[in-house]
Amino acid sequence: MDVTQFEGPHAPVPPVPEVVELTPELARKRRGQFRIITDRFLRNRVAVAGFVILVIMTTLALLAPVIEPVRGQFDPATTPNFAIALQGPSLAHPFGTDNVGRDELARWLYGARVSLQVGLFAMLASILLGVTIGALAGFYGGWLDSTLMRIVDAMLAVPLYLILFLLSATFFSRGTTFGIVLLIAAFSWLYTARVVRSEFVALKEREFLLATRTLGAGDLRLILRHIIPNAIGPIVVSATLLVGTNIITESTLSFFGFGLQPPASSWGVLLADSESYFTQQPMLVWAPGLGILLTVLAFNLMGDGLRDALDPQMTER
Amino acid sequence: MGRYIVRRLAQAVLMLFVLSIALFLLLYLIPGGPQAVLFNPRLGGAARAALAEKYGLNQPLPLQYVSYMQHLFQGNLDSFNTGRPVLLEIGDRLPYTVQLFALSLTCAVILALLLGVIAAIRQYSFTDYAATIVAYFGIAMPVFFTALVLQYLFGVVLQSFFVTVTGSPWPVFGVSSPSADTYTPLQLIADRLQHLVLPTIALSLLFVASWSRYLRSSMLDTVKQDYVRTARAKGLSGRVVFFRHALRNALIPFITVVAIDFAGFAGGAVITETVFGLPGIGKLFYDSLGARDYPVLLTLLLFAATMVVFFNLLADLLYGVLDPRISYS
Repeated sequence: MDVTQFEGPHAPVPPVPEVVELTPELARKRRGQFRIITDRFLRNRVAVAGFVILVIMTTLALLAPVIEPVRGQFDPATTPNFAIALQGPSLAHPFGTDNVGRDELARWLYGARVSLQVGLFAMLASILLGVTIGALAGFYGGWLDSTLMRIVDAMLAVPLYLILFLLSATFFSRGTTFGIVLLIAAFSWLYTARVVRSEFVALKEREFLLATRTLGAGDLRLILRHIIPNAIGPIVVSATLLVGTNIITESTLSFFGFGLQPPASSWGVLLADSESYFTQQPMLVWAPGLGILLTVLAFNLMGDGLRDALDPQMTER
Repeated sequence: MGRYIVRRLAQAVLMLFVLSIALFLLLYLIPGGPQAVLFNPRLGGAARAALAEKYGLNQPLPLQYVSYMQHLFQGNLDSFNTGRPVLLEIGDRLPYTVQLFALSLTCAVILALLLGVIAAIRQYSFTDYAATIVAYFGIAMPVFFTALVLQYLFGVVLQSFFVTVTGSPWPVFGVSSPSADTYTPLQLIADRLQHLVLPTIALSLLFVASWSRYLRSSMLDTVKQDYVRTARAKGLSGRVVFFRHALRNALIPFITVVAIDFAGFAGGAVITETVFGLPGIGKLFYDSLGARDYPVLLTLLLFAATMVVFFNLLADLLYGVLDPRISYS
């Protein structure tokens, strides 16, 4: 074992007394679990950077209807003005204008709303589905477990984009935000279910659950009050990463014309609209593209930071 | 081991069978399915009946499924769109996809190995941080956006830097140059390869990024193992221990990760082939979506699923061969 890891940052280490008496002073210094995790997360500068990017993006998205009247741009979906089509970035139009003369910044801000909405709502639906199915499989085991997990295996064997393109192109979504959210959620719960199942399998044999059951707790109480809180770490991490994945999925669907249909316009729709003008006005592609890149990057950084912060192996006192 | 292989094969076949029924029902029952495509509302009763007869759509669903499977395996399942057998349509396009896959998989594995190993050897070095940053960006880029940016970079920004052997601008679209008829065989190969460079980068970036991350952390885990310390204690040099003991063991789970991502590769192929205009089966899938060509779509889905299941099975078996601690019984 490496000796150096025992020399903490606050060397020299004072000799530890054999028995620590819990004085009021020490009790005040004890931190709750939430505080420990928050502290650990905040010390991870990269994860905090991700968090800050997300706060900025969310604020911009939320404030779009407030910012736009101030800027004097109208509803970006409905006000074409061919006289100013395909202009470069200027003071009036910081991101330039698109091929029908709509202000690109306005479209970008509203696009952020849609992209984040789809990512978040699809994540919520898919976490609900994944946790339920993973919990059922892991808790009850037996034929239920093997049936559910075979279904997961079978669904994972079909490449995601193939089935999504197909279902979206034929009937499923009709290009509405709600349809796309459901469609993405229907195929993105699989890994969450696997993770939750393995947490349940590991936790359900533990003594504290036997004790709780002996006290008369029913299955539902056991699952909701005792197992899920103990498995919350991996669930939170996969939820965070899922938002990023969902934003990529939605933008890919929309880019190929299988996702949202105008007037609903996410960053993916913006990219689809402006793809052919890349050489004339590169900003039209860079703005939504980098929007997606930064947002997904931020979710991934935060997810990894949360993974480290929530890891019980790294517990400190 | 033999019995294990047979059991796993049987399971895989059973799963694909169930999956084929599920996908068939999904495609043939949904509103907007084959009926909606073939039966134009303006179509008269007689013509409608004739069409239903021709494609067997007047039969009960289980029989339709059986006849779909029969036709598929006999090779006379016809595309709605071209009327040619589906297997011929796929066979014509398959070589392009196989080329793209072979190139991308090889590049992705080699680059991921290099980056992952270097990042693990020189943990917290400049190279490690650079590899980490590249990996994070690679994972957060949608594949189609990577493809667009590559087209823009090579086709517009760096147009004067990258030219082909014949002096023309670097190809950012299509499978061969317009003047390919006049090329010598050697030039033809070079031309085809040049057309594959950008699609290969676009398709492999995501996997280079995630696999190198995975390999780095699995290397760092392996280095902490007891047998690595034993090897060091025996007096073996760091290099020998690293490559002979640590890397070889870290590679075992790596194989599984590569196999699992095969499904992702298939999805990526549809995206890259469409953006770069390569006429492979990914493009065939995309085109068939527009034409609502259900026989082709269903067959391609089943084909992709079969490949995914096959590679996962192969990875599981390899895992057992490479890691003697795992015994199958």
